[in-house]
Amino acid sequence: MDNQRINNDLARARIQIQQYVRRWPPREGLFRGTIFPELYRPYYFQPPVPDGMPAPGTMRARRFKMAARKMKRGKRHVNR
Amino acid sequence: MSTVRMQMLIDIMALEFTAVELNLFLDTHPGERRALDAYNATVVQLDELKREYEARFGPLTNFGYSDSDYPWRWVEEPWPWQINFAHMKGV
Amino acid sequence: MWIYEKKLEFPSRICSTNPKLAKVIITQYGGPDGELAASLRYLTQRYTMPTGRSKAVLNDIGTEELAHMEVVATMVYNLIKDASLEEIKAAGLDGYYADHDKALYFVNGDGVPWVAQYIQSKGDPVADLHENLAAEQKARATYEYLLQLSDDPGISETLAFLRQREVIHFQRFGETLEHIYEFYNHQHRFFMGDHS
Repeated sequence: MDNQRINNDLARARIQIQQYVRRWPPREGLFRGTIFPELYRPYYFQPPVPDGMPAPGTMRARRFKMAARKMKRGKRHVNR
Repeated sequence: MSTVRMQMLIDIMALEFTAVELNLFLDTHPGERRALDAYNATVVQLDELKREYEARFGPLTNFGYSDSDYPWRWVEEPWPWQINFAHMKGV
Repeated sequence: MWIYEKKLEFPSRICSTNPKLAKVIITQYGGPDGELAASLRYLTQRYTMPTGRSKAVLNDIGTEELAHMEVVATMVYNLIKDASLEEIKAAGLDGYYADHDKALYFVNGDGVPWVAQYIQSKGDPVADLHENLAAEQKARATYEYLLQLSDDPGISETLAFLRQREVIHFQRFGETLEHIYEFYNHQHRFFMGDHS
């Protein structure tokens, strides 16, 4: 029996069982695709980068990021 | 199709969607009393709304689930794929 | 027995005539991870599920997938119904048009027809449920790619709805898998003479 239990802990998928907590009203549920807030997983698609902005992953993008970080740091310093 | 009719359809869709969700939940949680009570309450509300819609616009279901005025209203258009909710005004 | 209800599951808004978008969305009608495959897969697997619960889940999700197939068909139908021959050609749908006019047919985005090989019915509930969990994830990913390709706000709204349904179905299949393991564990104890 113990052997069986060990086997049942390994080499198997596991999904948490949902608990009944609260739900959205009918119309809100319909437009969200679920009545269960805890199962709501919206997908936010990032539209293609407009002209003039550096494409993600490029050298130019990294420089942009570094410049932005520097600006942030500067601001924080001023705030203090 | 009139905006009133579209609004009624959306109300039916919304309540029935709640029923679908609770139904699937109950399939994997048959012992969850609160979900069952919510399901049964939804059935009553949905039934009322469907009767009201069918009295005005004809049967929503075939094969003996709803009766029809003369002449047989099931054949009336539009069918679901002919309704575009983008044409609904004032949403 | 099935009863038809003369309404869609979701109030689909189609804001444009857009055969280009129709050409990619049709994969959720007759493609490998589409709604025809989903509904037929679950509805044919349900016969050999071992418990009332697992039969119910396969039956009900399979039925909801039939409704999703209708929602996808409604999008495709409305996106192409007013398209001119020029627009059909520009969208690369002329090959489709030659075979089907503007009728609905079960193909993927490249016109490859649906085949039963897309689905499996293994008779082993654990294997079948894993296939279904994977199917829901593949369909979710497809809806995300379609959302990236969509330039019609009404269509995007409906695609987002269908995508969220895949998440819910995944959860229900997962809970069913847990239940099946518990069921077999219990059976095992029973055969071993341990009735605790």
